[in-house]
Amino acid sequence: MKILTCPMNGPRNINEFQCFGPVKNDPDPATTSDADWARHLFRVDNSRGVITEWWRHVPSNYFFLAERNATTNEVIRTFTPQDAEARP
Amino acid sequence: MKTFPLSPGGAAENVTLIDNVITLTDLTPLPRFGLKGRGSGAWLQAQGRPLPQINQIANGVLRLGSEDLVVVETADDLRAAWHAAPAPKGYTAWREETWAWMHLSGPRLNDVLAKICPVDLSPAAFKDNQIAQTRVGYLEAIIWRHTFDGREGFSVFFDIAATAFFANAVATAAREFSEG
Repeated sequence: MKILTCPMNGPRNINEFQCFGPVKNDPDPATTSDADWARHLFRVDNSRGVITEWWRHVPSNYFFLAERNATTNEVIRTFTPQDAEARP
Repeated sequence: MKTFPLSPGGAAENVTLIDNVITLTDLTPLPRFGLKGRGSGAWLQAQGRPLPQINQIANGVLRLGSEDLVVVETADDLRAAWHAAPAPKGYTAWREETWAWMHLSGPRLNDVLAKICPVDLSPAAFKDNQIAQTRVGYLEAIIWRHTFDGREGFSVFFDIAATAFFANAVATAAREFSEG
């Protein structure tokens, strides 16, 4: 089975995890049209290459980030939101 | 008097807990108190209960996250103190209502656990004070080493609504060892 490393729980079977899709910036409520809000909420770009996604370790309900190559399905690294803020 | 799944009138009333190569004991009625959210760790420490590291248990406190704690010793006293205390103190996670608590022991414990839990729980890999938040018996669960009533084994927390499912999953996994 594919193994994903949770920053809090360590390496675990992939079926203990749930993917929450790519990290997206929130649009500006003052300037965004209804159509763009709907797209932001309900549609996801099917990108190739390296993307950063939200993942959740289900038994501990722990959310973290993963860099994954969407073309090869290779996970490059997993990290916490605090790690992301600490990087320049 | 509370009704638990295995007590008379409970949802799993007619389920038998396995007791041969492995012994399943229902500890669900035992007191426990879960706290979550900002301020819960600081409040617990102020009660003289030191916090272990995340995913460890010490002095009857399980730490499931930085601000996610479950007390399994003298929990009722603590609950009364918590209700009387001013905020910030986190919020109650209702662990005594939402989780079943079962103890596993017996001569084929390690063989059965190797089938139903993906984490290596052997003494060399899984220390006495460690907690695993993982899957046990196909369910999201929390498991740690626990000697209950003189019997060495493991305790497991899981969704209380799955009590019958868990008991049956353990019995099914143990069948090959009891028939051998």
